[in-house]
Amino acid sequence: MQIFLSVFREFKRQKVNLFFCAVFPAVLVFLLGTLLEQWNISDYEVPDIRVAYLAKDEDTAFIQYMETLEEQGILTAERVEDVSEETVMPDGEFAAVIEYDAPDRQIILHQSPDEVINRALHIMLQGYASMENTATVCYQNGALPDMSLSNNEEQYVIPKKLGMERSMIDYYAVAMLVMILFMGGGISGSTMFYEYRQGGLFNRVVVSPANKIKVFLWMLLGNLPMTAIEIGTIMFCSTFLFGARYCNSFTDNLILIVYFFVAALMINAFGAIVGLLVNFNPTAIMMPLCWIMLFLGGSFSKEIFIDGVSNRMPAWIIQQAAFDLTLFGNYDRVIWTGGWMFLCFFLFLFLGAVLFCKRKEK
Amino acid sequence: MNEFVKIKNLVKNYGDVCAVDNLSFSIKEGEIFGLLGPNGAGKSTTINIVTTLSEYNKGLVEVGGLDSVKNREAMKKLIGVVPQDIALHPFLSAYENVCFFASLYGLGKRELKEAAKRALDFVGLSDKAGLRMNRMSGGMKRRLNIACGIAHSPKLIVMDEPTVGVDAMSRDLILHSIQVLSREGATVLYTSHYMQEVEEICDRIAIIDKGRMIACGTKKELVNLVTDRKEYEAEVKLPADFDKAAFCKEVLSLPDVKNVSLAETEKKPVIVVATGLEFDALIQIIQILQKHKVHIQSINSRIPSLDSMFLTLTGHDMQTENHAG
Repeated sequence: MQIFLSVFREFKRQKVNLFFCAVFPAVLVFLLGTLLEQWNISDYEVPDIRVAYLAKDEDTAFIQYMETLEEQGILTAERVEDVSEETVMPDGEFAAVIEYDAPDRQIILHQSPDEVINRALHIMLQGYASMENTATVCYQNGALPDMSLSNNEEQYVIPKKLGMERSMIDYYAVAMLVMILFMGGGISGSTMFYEYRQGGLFNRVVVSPANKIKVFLWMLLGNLPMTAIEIGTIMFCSTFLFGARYCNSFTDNLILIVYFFVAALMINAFGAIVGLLVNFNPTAIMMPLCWIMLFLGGSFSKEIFIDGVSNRMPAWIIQQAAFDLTLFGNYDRVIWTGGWMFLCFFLFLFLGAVLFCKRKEK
Repeated sequence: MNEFVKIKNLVKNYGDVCAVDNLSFSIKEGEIFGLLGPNGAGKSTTINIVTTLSEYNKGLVEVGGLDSVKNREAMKKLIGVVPQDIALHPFLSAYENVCFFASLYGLGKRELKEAAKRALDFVGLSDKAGLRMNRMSGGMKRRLNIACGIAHSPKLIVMDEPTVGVDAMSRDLILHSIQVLSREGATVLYTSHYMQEVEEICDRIAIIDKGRMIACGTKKELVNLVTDRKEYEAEVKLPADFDKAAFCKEVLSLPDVKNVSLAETEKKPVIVVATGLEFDALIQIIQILQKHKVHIQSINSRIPSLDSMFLTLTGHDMQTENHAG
């Protein structure tokens, strides 16, 4: 316990640790949160759409469809008799021109230079084509669709929010935790033992009769409050400042914290082993190693995924299990991954203790 | 007194280099034993082996009757180490530092409190118990370094140059505390580059060079190895009627006096009396000088120093070796 207290006291009395534990994660959340908050709001608004349409053979169904759209204020549609160069010109009167060829059931969309308009029109016309297909199938089966309930005044699409809304900050909140676990926990675990050796304390501990596994464990545990503060800062700031959501229930959130605690133990122990093995500052190894692992594991960007590489990265594995719990409330992966991490931790603990005894400073 | 530390035919090789070559010595219980030698002589390797920090190739190492191979962990409990470098937690207070190191030796909460208080008191830092190590002076850090090594009341205290870079006051305090520890029953294995320190506090001294034992014994025994006499040199003012022959005859009549000579250095007369090592009747020489109306300006005794002994025994100067090293 004295070892734990000493490591913890040393940590909390260094101002630089306060920066890395509390200020740095808070700044990280603030920067990423502000960026992602904008990301969730679409940059594009669908403008007023003014289109010309040509219904060959006077197809009443298509004309009715376009008029309904106009009545609902979705667009302004003007029926034309032919498609001239003037109307399809980008700077012409209409944003786009639609040609409907009834016999072939072909819709030609003379596109606007505005991609948002094109996408919106495309969706509307696809809707009409699907409706027409349904009517054809009904007709071929000898049944006509019952349109008696049709009422244009009534709104059939009722927007309703899901109980849980997910946003980009939810992804990156978990990704940031994984980032901090590796960058903070891994590096602090490795430098702790390196500094111990540099300061000449290492030999003093080695020559004592204290159980080396216990010493190693207590030292690791003494280092954990730092990771815990980092995790806490990220969770607190992302939740209360940017509305990030982790799990749906308190129990699941508790499980998530325990899961990250186990991950922190394992990563700290791994870092400690690196710190015991190398004769130079282990940050030189841990920093690039963590960066590569986090980059390929999709922690820096969710767009990055290389099949066969990303899914073998520890960061990715830890992250995906956490997502399974936060998004779907699924425990299986968290339990498996957590179990493996616990086993790895014990392996590192034993290995670390052996190295602790064998390692001697000149 | 029992032999508390026993080292027999110790051999330690680093590849082709033999760092310790068939070294044997023993330290009695309660004794302050000095290990003297230049850099690379093998004293740090020997200390590392005794403290279980290094393995050895051949030989036997026993502390308190416990074999360093068979009873390693039990043996560790008997030893307190004061390393050459200040190995302390910089952001912990003096009290916290002592508690940390003492806890490694299995002391309980209550015992820790008492042990820390006692150790800090012992090195004169009880009023600085709450001061963080990184805010202490060099001398205070050295003293705290010692407190951390002795808090668990070890039977053997291994001190590797504990006075390096300390002020004279702290040095005296450290040396005095080592003597107190010895009086309280602790056995001390002490290394230093400062010969004067070793001469001052060690009961017995071992001189090692190139991994081998050159000589071992009390200071007197070591002096005996290189010379059988000591000299007293008196700078004097002679009276006009000084009778040299009568004076010499009288001095030579004293027991254990071997030779008397009158020389002149820088136009000042100097009387040199050579005696046996056991001679302790300086007062009688002074009385004879007074009787012959010789005015004494200064008087010095010349006993071979450890430095000159080292030079005689090894053929090279230890200080030069240390600087070269």
